[in-house]
Amino acid sequence: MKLLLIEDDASTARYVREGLAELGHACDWGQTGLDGLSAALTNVYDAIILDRNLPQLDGLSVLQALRSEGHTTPVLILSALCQVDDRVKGLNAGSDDYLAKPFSFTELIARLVAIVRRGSGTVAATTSLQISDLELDLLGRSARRGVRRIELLNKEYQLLEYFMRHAGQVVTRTMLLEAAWDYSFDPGSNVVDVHISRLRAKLEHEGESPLLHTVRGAGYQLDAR
Amino acid sequence: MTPVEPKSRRRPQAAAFRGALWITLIAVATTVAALTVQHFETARVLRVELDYLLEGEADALVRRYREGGRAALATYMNSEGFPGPPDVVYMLADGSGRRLAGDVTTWPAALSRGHVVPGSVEVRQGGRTQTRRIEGEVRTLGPDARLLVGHLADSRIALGRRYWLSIAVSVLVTAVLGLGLGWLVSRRGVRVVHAAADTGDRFLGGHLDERLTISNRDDEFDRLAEVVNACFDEIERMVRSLRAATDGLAHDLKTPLTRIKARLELAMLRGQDGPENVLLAETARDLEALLDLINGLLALARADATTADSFVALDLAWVAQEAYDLYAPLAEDAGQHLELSLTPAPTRGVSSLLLHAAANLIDNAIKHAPAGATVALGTGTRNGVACLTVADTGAGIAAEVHALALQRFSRLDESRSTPGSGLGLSLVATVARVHRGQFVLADNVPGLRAELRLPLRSEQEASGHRTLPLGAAPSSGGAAAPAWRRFGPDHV
Repeated sequence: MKLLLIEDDASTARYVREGLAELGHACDWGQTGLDGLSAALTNVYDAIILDRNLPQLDGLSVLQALRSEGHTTPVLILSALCQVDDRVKGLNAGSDDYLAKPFSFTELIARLVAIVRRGSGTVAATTSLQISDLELDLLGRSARRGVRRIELLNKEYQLLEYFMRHAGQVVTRTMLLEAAWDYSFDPGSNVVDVHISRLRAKLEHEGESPLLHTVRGAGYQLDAR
Repeated sequence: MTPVEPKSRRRPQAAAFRGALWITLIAVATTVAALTVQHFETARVLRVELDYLLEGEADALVRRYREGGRAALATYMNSEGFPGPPDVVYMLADGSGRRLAGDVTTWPAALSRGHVVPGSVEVRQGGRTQTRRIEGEVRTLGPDARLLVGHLADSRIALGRRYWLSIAVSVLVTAVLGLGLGWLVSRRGVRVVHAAADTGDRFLGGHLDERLTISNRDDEFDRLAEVVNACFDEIERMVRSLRAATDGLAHDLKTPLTRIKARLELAMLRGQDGPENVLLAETARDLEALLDLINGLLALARADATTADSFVALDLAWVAQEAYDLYAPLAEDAGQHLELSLTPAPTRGVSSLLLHAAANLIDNAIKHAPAGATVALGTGTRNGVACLTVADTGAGIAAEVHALALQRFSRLDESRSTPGSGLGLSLVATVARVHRGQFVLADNVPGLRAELRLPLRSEQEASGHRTLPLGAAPSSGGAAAPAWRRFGPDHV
């Protein structure tokens, strides 16, 4: 991916860029809101990583300026503020995702991949989703694997829909928490893991191929490998 | 902060009427006292005049008796030219009380002797005989003659009656005027108090720019308003600086932490699976623990600065259901029974904070109760409050350390071997406080019973908002960033 990082702290920016480079992503850098905005308007990026707290022009103003110019480049906001209302404010301003600082590279990459895919129109409006022999009927809100009907609780359905919309992508625990529960707090323990293992038990009966994989140190991935 | 329930509104003018009543009572007492003094003083003056009059009349007749004897006096008193002053009656009688002259027909037994004595006598006036009350002067002129000079007491009796009538009329007029005018006058004071209470309610409701209006009268009310406004200023300043400090702190703490984390991750990426990576991974884990702590503190500080303007109508039953859905599998894995018993508990609040509080309570119960224990999650209304209760059958907390358990960083586990930051229950207590509710720990015999009690939402409000959560879309799971929605009952 070709990315633009707008972040005022030079040291953070350096490490993030080097980290992204290690993972194979090119990343430009703008130190102020104005630098970042002019870079975003003159070059083409797959996604923009935008710090909220910036000198001269703050992150939300940069975002609003971008959107008012008709730019639809996916934007991920980085912020030290991580409460629900901060997140809602960021999303309402036109960002595609919101990530609290400090973050891990895997989390950042997973979220960037998700918003870039969505922006490229891979996920079309559809009434059903399918991966391998697993099929999700969005209208009937039901799932089946082959001929076997899978009984899902509400949250399990929401988790599965999210996985299927992000098939093949790494999905982190916080992404799942936000998707299925709208949580801004970490419920701690291994709450998400427990839910995923229940969903997995329903998806993968004896003799069926594994679909829901654990990605060590990152999260999960729904994929027909 | 939520507005104070205006209980006083049940008797909207109680204070005004109380003020008016006192004013009236004082006025009535003053009027009665003034009238009484005036009456008795008038009566005394009249009596002195009467005494003087009767004494003068009697002295004149006695002189005539001394000069001419009984017969001459009788003749004089029977003559046509002896009407005397009006309202004065006379009688000249012999030693046995037989009438010799005058308009009193029979000698009154009660008036045998003495100065001015009241009594009834038979009086013949204008050819008619009638019984009249008199006050009279009796003179014994000699063994065969005595004299009665009396004054008809009707006017004095009427004066007494008039006294009671005037007292009654005055009290009535004073009461009506006093209550009416007093109410009007007290109402200004009460109006000022009501306006201040309403302003205070709006202030507590999150409108931190609300202030009392100060008139140009420069009276006690204005002084009170100035002092209250100064308090509001101070509270507003503190709330705003708390928010700003929290946001600033979040930024200042997280900038170096973001660097550290990025550096650690970069080092791990470059180190591949080298031996240093174990050290790096351990450092990263410690960093995560530090972050949890900081996030916990920031969440607490943010919760502390919550005002009622961010409240929405919600039901604790939905909050409990959400928390139950999240934790039920976890409890089951821990070999515990998570029971759910929900009845509507409508209130107003910040759903994310309440959910965080409920999650902390359940998480706490699951962590501290052993396998096989029951964790009961319930909601409902009791004694005018909406309750969310989490009761476990674990080891519980001794009653004497309940208060300690709610303090920040308090860990009742001395060894600090169980996971957690010691902020969980203090967040619940803070959430309860900013919602103007209570957080109560009690013995579940055995185990701990933790209850969040919030002000009950009124019926009108409840019906007005009922459609909101039920109408909410069940899911928007496809979006990476789902639309913000209120918590409501989920249906698949």
